Amino acid sequence: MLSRKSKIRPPKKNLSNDVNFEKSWSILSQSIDQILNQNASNLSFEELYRNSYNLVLRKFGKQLYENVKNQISDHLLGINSRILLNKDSMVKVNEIWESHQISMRMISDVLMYLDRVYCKENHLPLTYDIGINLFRDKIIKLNDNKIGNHLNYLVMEQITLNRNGLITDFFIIKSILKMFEALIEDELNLENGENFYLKYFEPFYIEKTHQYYENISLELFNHGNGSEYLNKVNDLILNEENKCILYLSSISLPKLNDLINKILITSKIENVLKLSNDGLKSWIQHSKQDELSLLYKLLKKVEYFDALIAQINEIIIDDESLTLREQLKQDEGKKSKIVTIAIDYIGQVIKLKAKYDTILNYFQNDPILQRNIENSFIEILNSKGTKISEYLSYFIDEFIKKSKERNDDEIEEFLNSSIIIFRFIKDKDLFEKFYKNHLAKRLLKNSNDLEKLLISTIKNEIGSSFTLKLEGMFKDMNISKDLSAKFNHKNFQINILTKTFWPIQPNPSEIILTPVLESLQKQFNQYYSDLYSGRNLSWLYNFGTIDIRIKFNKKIHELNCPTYCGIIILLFEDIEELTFKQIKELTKIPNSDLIRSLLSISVAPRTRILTKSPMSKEIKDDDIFKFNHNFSAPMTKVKILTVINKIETDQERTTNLKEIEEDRKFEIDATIVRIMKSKKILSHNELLVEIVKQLKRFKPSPQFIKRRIDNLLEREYLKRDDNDRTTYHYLA
Amino acid sequence: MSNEYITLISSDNHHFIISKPAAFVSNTLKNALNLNFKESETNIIKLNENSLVLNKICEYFYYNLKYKDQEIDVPEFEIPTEMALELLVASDYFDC
Repeated sequence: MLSRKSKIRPPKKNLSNDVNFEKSWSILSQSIDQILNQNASNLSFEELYRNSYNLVLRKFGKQLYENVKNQISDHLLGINSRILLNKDSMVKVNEIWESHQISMRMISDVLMYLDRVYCKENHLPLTYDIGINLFRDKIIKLNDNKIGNHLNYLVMEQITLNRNGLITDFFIIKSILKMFEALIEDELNLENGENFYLKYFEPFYIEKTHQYYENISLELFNHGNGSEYLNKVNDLILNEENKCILYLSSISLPKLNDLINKILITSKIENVLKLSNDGLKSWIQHSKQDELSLLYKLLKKVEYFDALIAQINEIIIDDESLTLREQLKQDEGKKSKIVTIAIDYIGQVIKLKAKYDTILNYFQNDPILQRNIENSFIEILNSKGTKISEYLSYFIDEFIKKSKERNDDEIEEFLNSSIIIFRFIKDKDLFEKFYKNHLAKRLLKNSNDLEKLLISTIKNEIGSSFTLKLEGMFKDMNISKDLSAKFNHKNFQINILTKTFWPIQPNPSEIILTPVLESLQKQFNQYYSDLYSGRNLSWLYNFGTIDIRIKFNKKIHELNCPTYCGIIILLFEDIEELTFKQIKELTKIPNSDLIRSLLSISVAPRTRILTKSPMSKEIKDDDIFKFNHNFSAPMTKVKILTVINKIETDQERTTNLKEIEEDRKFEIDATIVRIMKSKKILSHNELLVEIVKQLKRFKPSPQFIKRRIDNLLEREYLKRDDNDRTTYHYLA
Repeated sequence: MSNEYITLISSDNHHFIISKPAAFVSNTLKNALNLNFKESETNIIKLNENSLVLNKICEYFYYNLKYKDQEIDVPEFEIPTEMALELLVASDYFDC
């Protein structure tokens, strides 16, 4: 290239010609006028471009820029004076806007060289933007937003009419709003994005919308009809959601939805739910699926459940006092047996729970609501102290005793209901106590597969530590069965119970057995101590039974009776009559047991094996008992039941409670020591939290725990910190 | 099909008929043809360049069109030294 020698030609002769600004501008100005009036098809782009090009090139850029600006400004002011503020303003302004945009696009293209060179160098807005800003200042915002406000008003009017059900031209609204969005407020700072729409329209729109829905929701609420409110509100929200996307800027959609949801749902729902004839209470009472599902849908939208939760809680408590307490009162009024009361009560609880399960179903089984409903149940059921534990135990006892008549479905249902209520019990150790007593009695009579099923269900629910002792009872029963088989005596069957597993304490007083029984007992004692040396057997006569065949005058009967009754009856093998005092001396059966046994074989109407004189329900020392040869019964086999002493069961209950109290002391003590041993130093509150966390079987009161801590301080397991009295140290 | 071609007229009245895509390489020509000006109807643009320079410019339009998406093996665009300054001014005018 370097080798080639050639002369570079100077560019363009025409540039050397003088450029006359006035002359070029007059051509441009005329053309711009034609463009602004949509009459440009005769203009030559090349000519205009060349003119502006030359002007800019000859440093007339500033003049050209200012002149163009003034010309557009004057043009727009002229248009402004012709715009009338009336219903048609939207259409009119939109037309002007559309054509102004086209004109500006053309002008800015003709002045492309101005933009490229002059505006860039001087950091000025481009020609097109000037046109848009002038439109904003000379049309929309001139005279305090005169036209802008009028447009806001018109748009809002159309939207309101549409909300009221009239057909609206959303195209024009959408165009106007788009125009508003295009009108940037601060042209030097484009990033913050403030425009006419955000600054003037949106606040106005939100305010008007707020008023509109506030009024409408108040009016709806005043109808006093909850279902109507829900349905109307749902319609309103759906309608608004469908409509607003047709015209509203996507920036405003979330704000609008929030606003409407807040006005229509969050702020009103509490009072709507409280409506007496058609509110939450009535929907729950009549299990209204439509209303409850819709209610849930609306609340889910706003994630606001507080009011619903509070009111459900109240309704459950009301429900409880209506059904459960009523049931209790009725039963207590009739002086029903505790079993009947328990079964009725538990039955009602299950019914109530089922009712709320259905309702929960309408709430999409929302976990928050579920937890709250369950908490309400826990609250009401445990408010009656220990009763629920006791009732559940009776309920289970009764069902299992009669389970042979039940089919699989009923058993399944029984297991489910039992576990549901078990879950609701706060003091599970108390339940365990009642349950163990019942279970012991049942196991000693006859075992049942259902028992094991229930235990494993409970185990799944709460863990094996709870069921350990209960399972020990089953193990004893199994071992005993094998043992009886090995001992191999056709008239003898035995259950060996491990003392710690069973809620039965050995009877300290020894009684005198008849010779036959005594030798059998000795034989077994021998056999057992050979088998397990060092183990001590205590005999629990009052849990055993004896079968005796006796030839009465009419027929031979086979009596199945409790051990004590059997021993008494066997006395009469040789002797015709005995006084109460004599029987007592001959058997050494404890007084209360003896009285009960005698009542069941001499006073109980169907099983009078003995006759008593005088014939009365009281037994005195000198009362005489004779063998009743004339005893008769329809069946060969006769079962003698012990008369239940009501006072005793009451006593049992109080001892149960006392034992529980003791057990709890031990358990809390052990827990405290265990915690302190690992943590060494803890403040009182930290310790409380830990304890409650670790104790699953019951919920002790803080006062109770405090007493136990004090006790441990006394016994020097712990000591208080010298400086901070609320902090404890573990003493090894 | 006539739509697809446009005519450029040089100051010494030579007619250059080039395809629209080629003309569109220049933003100036693109605007002239796309807006509602006279040129969009006639598809004829009168220019103030002489035929020599305009010829080279048209050559460049096709060169640009052919190689603008190609990254390797692009041949150099031959510019006669004596025309360099004129072409520089023209490229500013045509915005290309």
